[in-house]
Amino acid sequence: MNTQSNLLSRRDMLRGATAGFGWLAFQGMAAQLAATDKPLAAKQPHHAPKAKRVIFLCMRGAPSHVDTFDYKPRLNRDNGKLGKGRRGEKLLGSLWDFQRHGQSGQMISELFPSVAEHADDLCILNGMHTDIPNHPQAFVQMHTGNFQFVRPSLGAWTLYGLGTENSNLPGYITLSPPAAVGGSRNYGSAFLPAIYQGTPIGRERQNVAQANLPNLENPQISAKTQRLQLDLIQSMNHHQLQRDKFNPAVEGIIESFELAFRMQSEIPEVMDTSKEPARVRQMYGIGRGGNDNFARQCLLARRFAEAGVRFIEISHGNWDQHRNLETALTNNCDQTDGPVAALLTDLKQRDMLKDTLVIWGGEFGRTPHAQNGNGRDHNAKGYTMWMAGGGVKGGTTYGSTDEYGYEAVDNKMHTHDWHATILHLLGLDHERLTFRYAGRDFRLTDVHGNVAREIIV
Amino acid sequence: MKRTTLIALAGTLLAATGLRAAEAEITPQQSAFFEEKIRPVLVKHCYKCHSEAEGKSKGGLIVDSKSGLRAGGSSGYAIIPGNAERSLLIEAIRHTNEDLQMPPDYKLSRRIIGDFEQWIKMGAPDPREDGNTVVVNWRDPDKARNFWAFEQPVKPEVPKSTSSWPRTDIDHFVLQKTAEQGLKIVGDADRATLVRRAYYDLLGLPPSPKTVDRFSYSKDGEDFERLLDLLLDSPLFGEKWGRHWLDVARYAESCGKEANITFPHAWRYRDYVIKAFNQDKPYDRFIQEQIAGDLLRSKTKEERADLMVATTFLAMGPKSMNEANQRQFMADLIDEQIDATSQAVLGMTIACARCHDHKFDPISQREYYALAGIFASTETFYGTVATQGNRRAGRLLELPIKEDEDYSRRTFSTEEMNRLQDLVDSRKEERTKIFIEAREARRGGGDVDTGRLRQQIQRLNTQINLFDERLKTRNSDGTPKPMAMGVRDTTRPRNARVLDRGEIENPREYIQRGFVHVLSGEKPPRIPMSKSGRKELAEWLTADDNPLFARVMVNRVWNWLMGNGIVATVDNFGVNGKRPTHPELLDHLAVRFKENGYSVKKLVKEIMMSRTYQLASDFSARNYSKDPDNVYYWQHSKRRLEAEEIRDAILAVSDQLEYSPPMGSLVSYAEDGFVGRTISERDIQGTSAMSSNDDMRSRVRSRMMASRVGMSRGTDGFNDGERNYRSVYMPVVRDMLPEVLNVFDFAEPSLVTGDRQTTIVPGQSLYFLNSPFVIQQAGITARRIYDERRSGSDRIDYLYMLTLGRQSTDAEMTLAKNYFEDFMKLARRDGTNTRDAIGLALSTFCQALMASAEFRYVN
Repeated sequence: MNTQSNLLSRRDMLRGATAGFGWLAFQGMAAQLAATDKPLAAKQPHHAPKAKRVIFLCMRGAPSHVDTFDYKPRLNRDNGKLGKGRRGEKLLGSLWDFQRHGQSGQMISELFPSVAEHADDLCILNGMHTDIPNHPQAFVQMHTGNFQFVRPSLGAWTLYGLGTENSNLPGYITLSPPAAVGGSRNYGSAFLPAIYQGTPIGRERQNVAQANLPNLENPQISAKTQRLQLDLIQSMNHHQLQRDKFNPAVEGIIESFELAFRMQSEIPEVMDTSKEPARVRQMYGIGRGGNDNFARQCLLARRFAEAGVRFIEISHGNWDQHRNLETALTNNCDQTDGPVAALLTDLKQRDMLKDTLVIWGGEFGRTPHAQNGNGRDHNAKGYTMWMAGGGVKGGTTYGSTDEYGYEAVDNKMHTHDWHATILHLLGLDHERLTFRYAGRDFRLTDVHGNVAREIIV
Repeated sequence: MKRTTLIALAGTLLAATGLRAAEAEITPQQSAFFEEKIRPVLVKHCYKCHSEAEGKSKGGLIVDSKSGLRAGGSSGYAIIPGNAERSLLIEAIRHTNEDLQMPPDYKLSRRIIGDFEQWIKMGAPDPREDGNTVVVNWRDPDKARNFWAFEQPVKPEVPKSTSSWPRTDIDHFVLQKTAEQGLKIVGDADRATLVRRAYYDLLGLPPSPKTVDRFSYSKDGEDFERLLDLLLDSPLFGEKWGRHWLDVARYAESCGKEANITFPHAWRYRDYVIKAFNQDKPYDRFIQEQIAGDLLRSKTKEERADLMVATTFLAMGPKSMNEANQRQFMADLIDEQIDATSQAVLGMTIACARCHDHKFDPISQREYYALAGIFASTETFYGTVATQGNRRAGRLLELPIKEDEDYSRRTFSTEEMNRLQDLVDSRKEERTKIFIEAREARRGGGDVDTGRLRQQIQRLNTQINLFDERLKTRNSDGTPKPMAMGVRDTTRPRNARVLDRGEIENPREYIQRGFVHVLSGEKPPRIPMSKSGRKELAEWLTADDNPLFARVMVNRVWNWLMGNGIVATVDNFGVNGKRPTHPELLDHLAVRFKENGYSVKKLVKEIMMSRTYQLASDFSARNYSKDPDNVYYWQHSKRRLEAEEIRDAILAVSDQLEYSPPMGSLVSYAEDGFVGRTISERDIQGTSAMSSNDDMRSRVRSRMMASRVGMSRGTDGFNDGERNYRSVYMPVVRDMLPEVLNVFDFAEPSLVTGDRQTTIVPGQSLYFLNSPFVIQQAGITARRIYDERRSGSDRIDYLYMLTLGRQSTDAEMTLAKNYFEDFMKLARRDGTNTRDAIGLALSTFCQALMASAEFRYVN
């Protein structure tokens, strides 16, 4: 090793001495990286974007569509008649009333009274379908497009395609992610550079109020001294990268240190919701019993969005009502209705809804027939998700299931199509957003995916 | 799964096994041809009727996987690579044969047909990864045996090559594949790398500078085999390898889920596992003990106790303790036992057959309930105390041994015992008083607030039960009784009934207790009417003719050492899992494992003695572009240290690691109760940040005593001897892991985990930069190297040896010097006094080495 390399300044190092990225570019293996030596820098999209960022409200466990956003009068009429289940299960009409809302007159169930007030902003996707009616597979497929192989997550692809607007924060944050159903695969970067991985904050079954990124402050040395120390660490890391020629993990660690250093000053501020006006905290439902956790997540999502985080996912579970549909689904909706509505209101008031794509939904839907008398089973062939803001047509319903809600029949939207559409709204062409790995170009949508152009403004 | 014809079936199975055959290398041009011209056509025109994705396989043909397309359907092979004219697919799309026209409603364009002809002439290069979605008709279980995983492993011939490269049989198998794939194996690792790798892989700890010196820098160098023997003999081996198994066994010290109640006796299982690995207990015996230890013969009381503790495996799964319905609770408990057992031992997800026949694997719902009967005839002792949030409290087993003095739960003084008894009595009296008052009030026609009453009673019951449990688990002289979790046969074994859709409300016919057919040999053990069948289950699982038993374990061990399983999905060998990259090697290892009496240590050694294991982790652009995941082992995969290794290594560097194991666990000091109350996040987080179990013990105890037994709170003991035990002894409370475990991808303790994930997230960087634990240990390290070495450069050298197991380079020495100069400059400007600044410079330097990427990777 020559002494020259010791004298590399931090600026030099950051300017592209990272052997890995350089090497990749040299090999032409990742032309997409050559454009910039800062993998998180904001990048040019493929076409004019409608949305700048995404907030994904992930409802783990698969919410029932026929009780929430997919009105099925026929199902209600035929309540108790034989359904399509393999064992002669009886159809179960929705236990809740649907009503028209807003000028658009969208049908929404009484389970979501506050969200319903935003009917004119919602684009309800009633033709969703996916491959496997099993939680882990479907959950992972929803996040990565593929359940069989370890693949980059939607958020990681987004960050890879667009970079971030605020380099002092992770570009992809996931609040309270579940450890099961795929765990970190759901926010992983797989073969994409590690810096595109989601940063988890908190965990499922813990109120996000208790969740914080620990170790944001050094008890011993000043920021300036720490910078000196970090330069030392990074010199060591760069030496290793030079020795190894190519080592994506070390590159990831290098980037992660820089991000961590910058985050120290900004994260505590963004995560401190106590300074929000009481009015806003109330609107979200913070401190209100069952609402509190999800309310805080929603408020944090807005704060992250405002601060320039590209992709934010927040979680609520469990929606897996095989039994006790009446009480359990009511509880879930009660806990989320107010906070979600508040988030939409808040974004709108700040004029952010126009370029923030808000997405609601889970990994699949539930059967129109009953299970255990008062529950519903898994149904991957037809279900509902919705989008709002970010360039989608509000006040519309796209796609539909058959008259009972078993199967998507019209304007069907497979998980791959859903991915393609989200990327499109962000200004990314899902067929051009590729990464060369193992000798071929990979896409989030593999060889599938159709953009649902009809839902775009 | 759709029914397919027998011919199709034969074809598909052929394809599944045919995957073993070497594939000619696909050029990028061929790959591009397929992606541009072939795949889009298949997707657009064929998938609707012929794809696993759509669940359609008309004529038995699926085309959305390479194996499916190659296999063909009921009419025969769809494609004959190289021969377009004989390929049925071409015939079909040309529409020349009236009976075979595809797509049926329209004809593809001439251009497309031309593309397909050209493609088949090229040899039908298909770059798709095998989708693992082979359609197989399991209705005939004997046919199902043709699936690779259900075939008996047969010792294959070693593909001896004339090359001088291979050192052991393993190497021949590996070389064969790398040659086929056109990969060039990299050079051997240097000795310093090798010794560090061996230490981490076997002990989970860095080698001492002396060891590195002796092994890699001394002239003759110690023999690697002798080094391995030494490490395999070390009691630290069991702590590393036992932890591997604890991942698989979803070991935890609380029930998790909503209630999350502590399992204060689970730690005995942890110690049992560590001991088993240290003693090199044969793996078949190890499994038998965990499934049916209570039913095995023992010679001594100690052995009996060990066998009872082994069955904790079945008792410590996650549980919904607030489940209102006892039958539902039991059904879930049994399901969890089947799930954990089948995944851990067989790599099969048998629990998928609870509600319906397995969707992918040849396991019927009836077979699930045949197993369920065995567990339904078993009583599970998981303990916990009945309280307001715990509707399903269970019992514990008392071990037939006398415990050492320093047992983790302490001895109560007579005074304390009396006080506890008083507390129980007074609460009982209070309860009686409330009953009587209520009765009288009611008699007198007065108003009784039953809701409030019930609450009062519940509160009292909780207290009574908690205090009573402390009394019940102690002898009259206040010494703690040795309690354990585990299982025992019920007095009346019974068959289970099929539950339609897995619903307890829908019981159907009774199913004779038994096993899964496809994994059974000629004569599966018979279950006597009067027995649960657990002993027979243990025999069946570990039988020599169970095709998965040895394979699954050798694959786990290989994965832990090599970074990639031969079957990548280490916990799933079913149809939905991945196929082995080296099926013959897998079988070779499995048969050897059997021949060696299921000795894990011998297996580990055999793998580590191979040249393949001892390769460098050097990069090769050529190899990387073909096999970026190193599934063919052309290099040694670099490995991120596991969470425990990171903490242990830091403590080893600072010389603060306590090598002797503790007795018990933080959770056992806290005893029964709710996570979050009897044991708090602070207690748990404290274990990585600060100190020893002793501190914890006094903290937890003083809080417990203060809050529960009503004693005056003692001083908060933070100052008794700082003892940092190895990380394997940290408390594993579900949903409340110590920080270091959380940050560095610890195995989720509610799931069977044979392969931990590795993330790179900013939280890890923050941990190294700012965590009080790292800062504290870096400070102690600075002191250590300052005291133990005289000159500046000696100190730096020593530090490199301690942290990275190698000498520093000249460049690194310069780097260090520059750092100290810059640091002092900055300190002077800030007005820090020189003495403090020197100390700080050194300790932040030590911290930087711990934070470096090199520290947390094994090459």
